[in-house]
Amino acid sequence: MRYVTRTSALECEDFNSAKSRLIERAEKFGEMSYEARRIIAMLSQDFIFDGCTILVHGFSRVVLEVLKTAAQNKKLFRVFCTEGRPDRTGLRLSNKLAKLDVPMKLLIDSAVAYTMDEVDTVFVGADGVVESGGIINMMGTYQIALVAHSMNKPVYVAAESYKFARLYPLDQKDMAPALRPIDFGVPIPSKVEVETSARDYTPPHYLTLLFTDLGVLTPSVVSDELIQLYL
Amino acid sequence: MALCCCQVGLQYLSGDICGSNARCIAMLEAFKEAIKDYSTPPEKTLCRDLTAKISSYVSFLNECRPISISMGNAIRFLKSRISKLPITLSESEAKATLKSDIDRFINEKIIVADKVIVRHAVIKIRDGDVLLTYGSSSAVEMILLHAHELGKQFRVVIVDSRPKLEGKLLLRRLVEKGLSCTYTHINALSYIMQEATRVFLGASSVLSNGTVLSRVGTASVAMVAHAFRVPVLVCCEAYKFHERVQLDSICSNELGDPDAISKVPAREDIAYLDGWANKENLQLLNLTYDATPSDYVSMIITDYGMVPPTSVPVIVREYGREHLLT
Repeated sequence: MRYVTRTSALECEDFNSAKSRLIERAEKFGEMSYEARRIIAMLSQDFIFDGCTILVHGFSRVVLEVLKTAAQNKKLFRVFCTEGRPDRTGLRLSNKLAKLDVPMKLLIDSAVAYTMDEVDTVFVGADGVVESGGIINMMGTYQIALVAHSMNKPVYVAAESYKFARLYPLDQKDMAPALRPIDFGVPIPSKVEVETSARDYTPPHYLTLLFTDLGVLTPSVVSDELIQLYL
Repeated sequence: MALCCCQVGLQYLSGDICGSNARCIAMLEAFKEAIKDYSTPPEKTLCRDLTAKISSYVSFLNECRPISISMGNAIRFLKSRISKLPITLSESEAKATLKSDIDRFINEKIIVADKVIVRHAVIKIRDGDVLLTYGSSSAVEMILLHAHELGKQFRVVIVDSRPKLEGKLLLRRLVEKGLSCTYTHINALSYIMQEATRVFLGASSVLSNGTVLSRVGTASVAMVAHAFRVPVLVCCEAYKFHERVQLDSICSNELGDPDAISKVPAREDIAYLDGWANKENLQLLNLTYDATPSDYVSMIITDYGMVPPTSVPVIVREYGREHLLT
C-alpha cells in the first residue's frame, strides 16, 4: 500500500492524472509481487526433496506457488495441511493442491504435535516480517514453530520482501491485535470471554530460514536489509 | 599539561564524573578548552603538533582511569578531524572549526541520540508495566522520566549492588519526580524478576557480535531476565558501538579498588579482611564491567532505531565510518 501511495503522483494538481498514476503504480506493484513469488518459488526448490512431507499452515499465495512449482518439477512430496480455523484457510489450500494432484492430508489445528514426527519441513507464509527477523502470521503459526523447534524440524518462511516492516514486537501483546470473530457453532455464555486475535508473533529463534525475493535469508539478516532500506 | 584536562582527570579519579556519556562529554569539553588555549609553536604545523598534544592528554586521562570505548571513539573522531584540516586554514580558523566539530559531536552523537532513543523506548512502555533497571544509566533515566511525563502508569524496580551503589542516586532522582519505585539489591533479583515485565539496561559499549559491555552485574540481570522470559532492552547510543569482538569479560576490563569490596562502610564489626594485602594466598577481584552475551538481549535501542543485537555490525559498518569522516 505504501508503495502505491508514496509517490510523486499526489503532487499532481490534476486529479485524473494522479488517479491514473496511482493505478499504474498499483499494477506495477502487482507485477512486482508476482515476480517476487516466482523467485521465491524457484529458490525454495532446493529445500524440497523427493519423499518429503511438508506441513503447511494458513493460506499463503507464496507457499502455494512454492508447492505448485515443486509439483511442476515432478518432485514427489506429501503435504499436511492444517484446517486453519476460524477462516478454514487450510480447506482453501487443500482444494487448490488437490487440483495439482499433490497427495494431501488435512489435520485439525490441534493435531500438529501428533503428526510432527512424520513431518520433514514446515512451510508458512507471513503477513509481516518484523525487524527482529520474526514473523507475524495467522494464529497458530507460533505454536507450530514451537513444536517444530522442539522436534528439530526446520521451519521455512516464504515471504516477499515488501512484507518487511520496521516493527519490533517484544511479545505477543506488543501490537494492536487484529480481531476476527470466531463461530464456535454453539452458543457461548455471555460471561465467557473469547480470544479473537487473528495473528500471532513468532520470534526469530524458532525460524530456520526465510525465502524472499532478496534470496534465502536467516532471520537476523532481515534487520540488516531493513537498515539498508530505510536509513 | 592543560589545566582543564588535569581537572577532568582528577574528577575521573575521584569518581565525581562517572557514567560513560558524562565522562565522554567532560573529556571533549576539556579538549575544547585546551584547543582554545593552544597556539602552534614556531616551526611546527598545527595538525601534527595538536595531535601529539591530544595524545598526551589522552594518555594522562588513561592513567587516571582507563578510557572507555565510547571515549576512544570520540578521540578517534577528533584526531581524524584534526588530520583532515586543510593546511591553508589559519590557526584561529582551524581552532574554530575544531570547536564546532566537537560541539557537533556532543550534540549529534550524544544529546540528540539520547532524545531519539527516548522516543523509541517509550513506545515499548505500556500502562501497568513493571520496569526493572540495574545501576544507573543516563539513557534509562531519561526514558523513565519521559514516560512518566507522558502520563504512563508504570512502576520501576531499581536493582543495585555494592560497592558503587549507583542505583541510589537514580532512585532519589526518580522518587523526587514522583515515580513509584522499588529498590533492591542484586541478591533479591530472582525474586523480584517475577514481577518485572521489561528490563531496561544501559551500556558502556556494544561490540560487533552483539555483546554488551556494561556495569558489572548487568550480565547476571540479563541472564535472570532471560530465564524468566522477560524482554531485555539495552539502550545505547551508536557512538559507543565498536567493531571488536570479545567473548568474556576479563579481557579489557577495568580493575576497581580492592578495598571497596573488602571494607563495608559503617560496619566496624566486619573487619575480617583487614590487612588482606599481606596475605599471599588471597586476591580480591573488583571488576568494573562485564560482558552480556547477545543471547540474553532482546533488543538494542539506538539512535538508528530498535535493532536486534545481530545487527550491530551492520550499523558499525554502514555508519562507523561516517562519524569519522563527516
